Amino acid sequence: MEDQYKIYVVVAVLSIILIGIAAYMFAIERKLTKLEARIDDSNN
Amino acid sequence: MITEIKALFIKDLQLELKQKYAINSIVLYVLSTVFVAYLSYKGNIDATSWNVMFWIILLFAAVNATSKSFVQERPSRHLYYYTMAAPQSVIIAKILYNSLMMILIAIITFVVFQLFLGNMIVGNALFFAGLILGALGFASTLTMVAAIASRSDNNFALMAVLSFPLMLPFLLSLIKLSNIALQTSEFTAEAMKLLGMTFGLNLIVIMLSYLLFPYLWKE
Amino acid sequence: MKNNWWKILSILLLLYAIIYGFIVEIPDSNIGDTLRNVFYHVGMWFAMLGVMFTGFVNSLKFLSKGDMYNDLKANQSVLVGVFFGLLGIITGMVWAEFTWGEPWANDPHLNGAAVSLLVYFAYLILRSAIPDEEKRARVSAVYNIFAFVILIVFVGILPRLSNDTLHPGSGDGNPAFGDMDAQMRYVFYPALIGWIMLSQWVLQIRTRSKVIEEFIEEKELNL
Repeated sequence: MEDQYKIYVVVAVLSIILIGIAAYMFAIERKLTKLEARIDDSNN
Repeated sequence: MITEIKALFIKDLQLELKQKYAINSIVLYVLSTVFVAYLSYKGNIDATSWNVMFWIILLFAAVNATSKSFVQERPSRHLYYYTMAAPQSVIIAKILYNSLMMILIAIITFVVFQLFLGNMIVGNALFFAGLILGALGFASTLTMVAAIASRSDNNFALMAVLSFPLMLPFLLSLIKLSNIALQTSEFTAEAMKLLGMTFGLNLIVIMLSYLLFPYLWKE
Repeated sequence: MKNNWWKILSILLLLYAIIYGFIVEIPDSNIGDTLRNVFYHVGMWFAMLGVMFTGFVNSLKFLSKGDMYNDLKANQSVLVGVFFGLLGIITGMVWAEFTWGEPWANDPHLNGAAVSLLVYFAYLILRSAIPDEEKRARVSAVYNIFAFVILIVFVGILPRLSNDTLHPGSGDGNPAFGDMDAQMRYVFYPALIGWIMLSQWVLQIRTRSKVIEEFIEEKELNL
């Protein structure tokens, strides 16, 4: 592989990390939504 | 409103004249710190240190002088003012009174500096313009911070923590300004910019205090 | 997913910034490839400004309406803002070590950033010093409004007035990024928007979990 293309490996790694973190944050949000729903239930 | 401000201002003044506590303690504080500076510099102090010492001593004197603004009287007294006067009048009167005190303290500090550490100023007009604007800025910021700190249980410790970062814009531009005054007697473009900046900050702080103090005052 | 489109957009913008940020041609300068840091480091400051602004708005809302939710959100905004501010300082120090040879160059931008963080630390201390909830909310809202104005003075006005800053472009009114060519701007502005939205997202998660926490604590008190 030529030198100037090696940077794409770094770009790929960083992109995967970012997507991973985003997916994780969405998962946390889903959990929060469930908790909020339970709070609403117990209030009624 | 004007009459209220006047009455509250005169009340503060009479209280101070009767007790003479604040001004005496500040004079003693300034004297002792400047004397320590004099002893440790052994009389040959350079202009930069002179400048920094001056403003730092003035800063601490200001914090000491204003921290009692809202706690020296009993809470029942405050309730009485609360029912008698608009909160805006209370804060304006306090700012005016503290400004008077600060100008007095600034002049005292300046005189004591003359006695012990000598006069280093070249541009007198510029320096005093900065000193007056700075005194007003210290007074207005610290009055508001004293009002905030008085709402907590730990007034004196909080006063320092809350006020120092808020004072820094003032302090930085004032130190720069008097640095110019230590070198030249001209009102340079840079000096005018700094004067304008200090004046603008003053306006912002006083306006914010005027608008926000009513929320602190109601109990 | 209806209200979540901006979160996806934020991730897409950041992906674009990461991919294109490494590939875009940058002008030749003495700091070389480290110039690419500008897409990520400056983003931290804008993220901080964004959430601090949210905190400011919530403090104003609290003072006018008295809803405790606004107080909670203002508090969380400051916590998230301080986090991004610290990231900005740390990344700045790493970058400064390479370009200016020391982690803490005496520069108005750096000092302003440090002091505005101090102001917000003072906010957090003030909160912990007042036990009564209603009073704490009111007093800290007042201080937060003060703090935001000082923050604007520090990052927006003071650096532009001083002539001795190391950051580029302080003369032409744009404090941190004066001489950026068009190519870079195509990456820079989307990156900023992406970071700002990401910090709002973090703030939203923090606020929601804090609301749940408060609810549970109240429950436990009543048991």
